[in-house]
Amino acid sequence: MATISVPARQPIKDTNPETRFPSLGELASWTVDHKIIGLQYAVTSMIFFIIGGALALMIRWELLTPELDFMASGQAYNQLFTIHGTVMIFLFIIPMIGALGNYVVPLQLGAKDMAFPWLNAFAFWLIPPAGIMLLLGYAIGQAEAGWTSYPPLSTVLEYSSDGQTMWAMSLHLLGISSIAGSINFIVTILNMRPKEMTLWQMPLLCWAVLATSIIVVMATPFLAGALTLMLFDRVAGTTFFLASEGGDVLLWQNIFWFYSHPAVYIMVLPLMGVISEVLSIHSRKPVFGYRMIAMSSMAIALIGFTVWAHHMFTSLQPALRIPFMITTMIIAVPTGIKIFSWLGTIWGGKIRYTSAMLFSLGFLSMFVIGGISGVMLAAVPWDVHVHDTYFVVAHFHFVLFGGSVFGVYSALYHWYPKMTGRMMDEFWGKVHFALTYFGFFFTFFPMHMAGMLGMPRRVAVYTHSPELQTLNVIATIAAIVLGFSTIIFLWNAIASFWLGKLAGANPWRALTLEWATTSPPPPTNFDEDPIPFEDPYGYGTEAATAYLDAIDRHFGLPEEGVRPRGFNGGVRVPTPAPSGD
Amino acid sequence: MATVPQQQNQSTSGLHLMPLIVFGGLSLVFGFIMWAVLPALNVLPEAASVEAERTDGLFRVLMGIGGVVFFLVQGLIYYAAVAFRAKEGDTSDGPNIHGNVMLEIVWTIVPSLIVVVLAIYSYFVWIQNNETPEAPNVMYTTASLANEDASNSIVINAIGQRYAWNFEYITNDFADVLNDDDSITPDAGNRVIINTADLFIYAGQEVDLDMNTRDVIHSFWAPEMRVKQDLLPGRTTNVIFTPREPANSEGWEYVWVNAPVTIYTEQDFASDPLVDITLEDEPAGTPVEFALVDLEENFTSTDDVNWIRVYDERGREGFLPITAEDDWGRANRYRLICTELCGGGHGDMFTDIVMFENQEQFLTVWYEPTVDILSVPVGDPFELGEQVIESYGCAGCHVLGDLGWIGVVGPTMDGIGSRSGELAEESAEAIGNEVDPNAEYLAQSIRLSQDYKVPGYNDQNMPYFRSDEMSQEHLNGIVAYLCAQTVTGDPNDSDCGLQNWEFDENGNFVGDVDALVAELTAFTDDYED
Repeated sequence: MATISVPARQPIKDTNPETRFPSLGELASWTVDHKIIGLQYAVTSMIFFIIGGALALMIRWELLTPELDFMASGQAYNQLFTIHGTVMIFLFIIPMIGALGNYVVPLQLGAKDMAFPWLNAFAFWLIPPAGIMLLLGYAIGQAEAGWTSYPPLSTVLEYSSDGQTMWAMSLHLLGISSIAGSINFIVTILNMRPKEMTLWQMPLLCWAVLATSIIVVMATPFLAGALTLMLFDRVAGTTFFLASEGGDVLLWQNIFWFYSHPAVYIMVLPLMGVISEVLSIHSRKPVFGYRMIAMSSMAIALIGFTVWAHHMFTSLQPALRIPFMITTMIIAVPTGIKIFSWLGTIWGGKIRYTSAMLFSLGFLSMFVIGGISGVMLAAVPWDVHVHDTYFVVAHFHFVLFGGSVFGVYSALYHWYPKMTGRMMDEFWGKVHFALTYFGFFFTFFPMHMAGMLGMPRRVAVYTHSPELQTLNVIATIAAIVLGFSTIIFLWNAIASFWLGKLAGANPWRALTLEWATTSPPPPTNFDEDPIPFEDPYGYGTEAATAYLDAIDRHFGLPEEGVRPRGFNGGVRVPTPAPSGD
Repeated sequence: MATVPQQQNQSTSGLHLMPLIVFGGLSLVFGFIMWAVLPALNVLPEAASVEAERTDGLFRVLMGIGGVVFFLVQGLIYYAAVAFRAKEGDTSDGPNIHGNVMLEIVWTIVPSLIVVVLAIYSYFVWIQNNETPEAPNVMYTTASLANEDASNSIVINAIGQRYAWNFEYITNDFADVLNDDDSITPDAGNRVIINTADLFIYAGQEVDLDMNTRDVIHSFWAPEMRVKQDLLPGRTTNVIFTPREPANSEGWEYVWVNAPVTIYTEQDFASDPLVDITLEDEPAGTPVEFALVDLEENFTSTDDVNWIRVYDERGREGFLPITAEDDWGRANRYRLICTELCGGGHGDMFTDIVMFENQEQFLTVWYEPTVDILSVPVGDPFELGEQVIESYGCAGCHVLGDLGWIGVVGPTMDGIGSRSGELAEESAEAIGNEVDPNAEYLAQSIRLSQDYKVPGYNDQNMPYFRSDEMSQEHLNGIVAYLCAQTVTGDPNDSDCGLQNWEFDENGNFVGDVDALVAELTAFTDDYED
């Protein structure tokens, strides 16, 4: 088996006219190129990230005082967090995972495109109309039952507006998009690997996306079912959730969480894949316990289907709560395996403090807090105290912001050079990280205390406990810092597009295949079929160094200053003979 | 290539075991410190129930173990971040280590064992907290307390509705709780029912609430009791807890006595009573609550009198004399909060739990006097209205300064007696429901609230109060009471347009009570059921 995919000496190909970033017009139109679709996902989800973030800041502003003073009414406030939650989950994180998966996975597999390019484009183009539909709810009375939309608040017409119907239809479209995208990922990952790459030689991001896609395909139809029942109740006069007519409100909670708990893993597993990549590459050390990390993704995917009712610890029949407590605690084990494996990965490495690496370390540091509070919430007696309080709000933001969003930032810093051909500014990246890390921590950590001390979630007023104001003021100030840090990131991402240093093909000297082509890659990704290195994380061997040097020589080096001073890969190491036996 | 040369020097230096051992040890210490100091950190509200004590014990263990994990992982991250940073000019890769089977087994097995232990511990706490109490809601009478021979259980129902809590105390064998001089007659079911907006309980008595909701899902959360349970449409759910005086309690914060009450500016019967808080005009026997001024040193005694320093309703300090034979009791208030999103007024849906020190106080200062008052027929609808309006949960949405309501979702009730004409007119224009006189609008907007909405409040959904939920007598009282709430404070300025509406200069009704009642009753007769 050959370890090096390319001939030793080739001219630099940075001038290849086809390897350019798509124009705005191309970004806004139908295409079946997975890279452009990935960028479309990324840009769309960033737009919704800004919208969701603005809503979050309005929520924090209202909570500065115990009284209702910023928003016009309690209902207007309820619309805020309903749309904040829905946008962040369904229109930011999930499409952003679509972005990473679409852009990176085929490249990592050395494939020319996804298995079903047309389906891929179709899946993306369901998202903008769905998002617009959701936001148009503001014109007809926005949904205000929370992102979980429990009936009867969400189904009885007296209690809700037409925006709730739009909400359900919008989620229907997003669900179809998710399923279509995931089928594509599964087929691509299982069928389009190069013949030299076995499943056990696959990059961990691909493993994570595979696990996620299996969850999506199995779970999302349940969301579709629940939404269909809700729509029938709302517009067709059925009574699935109406107790007075023989319906049952717990029916919704069961079906909804049967989807939405696995959906939590949909939102974090791919980012765990990202962390596995980034920690290994930027600490120049193989992933510690590759198989355990890959298998723990699969274990989480499987066990994730058995824990849904822990969201119903205060509504489920008491006797049924115990089994769900046990399964919920068990799922902490594979998550713990990942965390310890990541620690093992950086342990003894040569850590390079890039922005991507900082965000991955930040992910580790914050996600573990979400994990600890998760185990606490699994314990039924403790959960019944803090269920539906700010303790839970803190918990899931530590998992979804401290986890997923840190992972998204890490991924964007890591793959931005591949997508645009230019590096993001490292100084502002570090400023962004510092502000995000501390802004995030002080926004959400005080919420644990607020919840334990008596602050329920989803309230605009907390006049029963004015002493909670101090914690809320801290959270709001930190949230403003967090919002500001996002502006720095966006500015960095936009400015670096023109001002960033030229990245070359492989600025990080990474072994996975997406770096064995130009940045951005040509329309068919690779000019000739790439041959993967036998171990995607085999750093610290001469063969790996030789492979990386060959890539550098073939595609050219990044601009001065991208790599550590005085380090230019191929220049430093004597050229090994490409071994082809 | 068949083989890849590996760097072989990592087996000793590559693992860096020493810091692992140091951080492992330190994290155990940190976890223990977390466990030890947690109660002093005041991160939890007072623990005012037996269940709270058990849950807090579990919380300590969870935080102890969580502290170990937190310190271990954060410590290792920060250590690695400093110790393993690439040195300036070092461009080499790290050691080619792919894993360590022993380590991987350890960090699979150890967390598994920990969660198994936590699950078992949680299971036992849960089982103990949910044991069906042997004698829930038991209510002795003061007479039977002396004899220790009889007991009676009352059912307590909790009813949630947007956006208020309501509690029903249903005593099946009413005879036990009545004094000899009561003139009460039982209802058809031989029951006495008390409706309250606060939940009244006493320390040491297991409480088992039957809970129902009138509309959407609500959730009963008493942070100081550490219990929570959703109220589900179409089902009756239960919440069980045993209140007790918190171990770390600062003392009792309220004192309850029965009217008539007089508060003095000095510890001396000769001094002037504090103006406006001589509650002698309350019906005799009405339970009255005062906040204690100084929880440590409340009492001073002169002769046979205990003087308690209290705040009056306006926050002024005064002295409350308690003689030995007086009925009085001490109580604490705890929060009761709705935690399931129920609409625009969700944040306003909270009330208090009033916990008395013991059952004798509960009975003598609150329960029996309340039964007594209910048992005396009230002739004056104004008095009845003021008495019963608080038990219908109106405070969850409406403002009414006189009674301390602060709800924000619905229209204000301040000065409603001066605005009924305006409201009736607007409603007639918007909906087409004509009323005559204006007082009828108030009656209809309670009975058939959805059909007589105030313009501008179309999004709000006040429940219907049909005759099975609010008796005609109560409705009459409430309408009369509201009609008397004028901007000027003089009931004669009311624009309700009632024929029999006449007050003296002190605001006392001087008209014909029966005629007024007949007039009020006529408004809603047609809509009965």
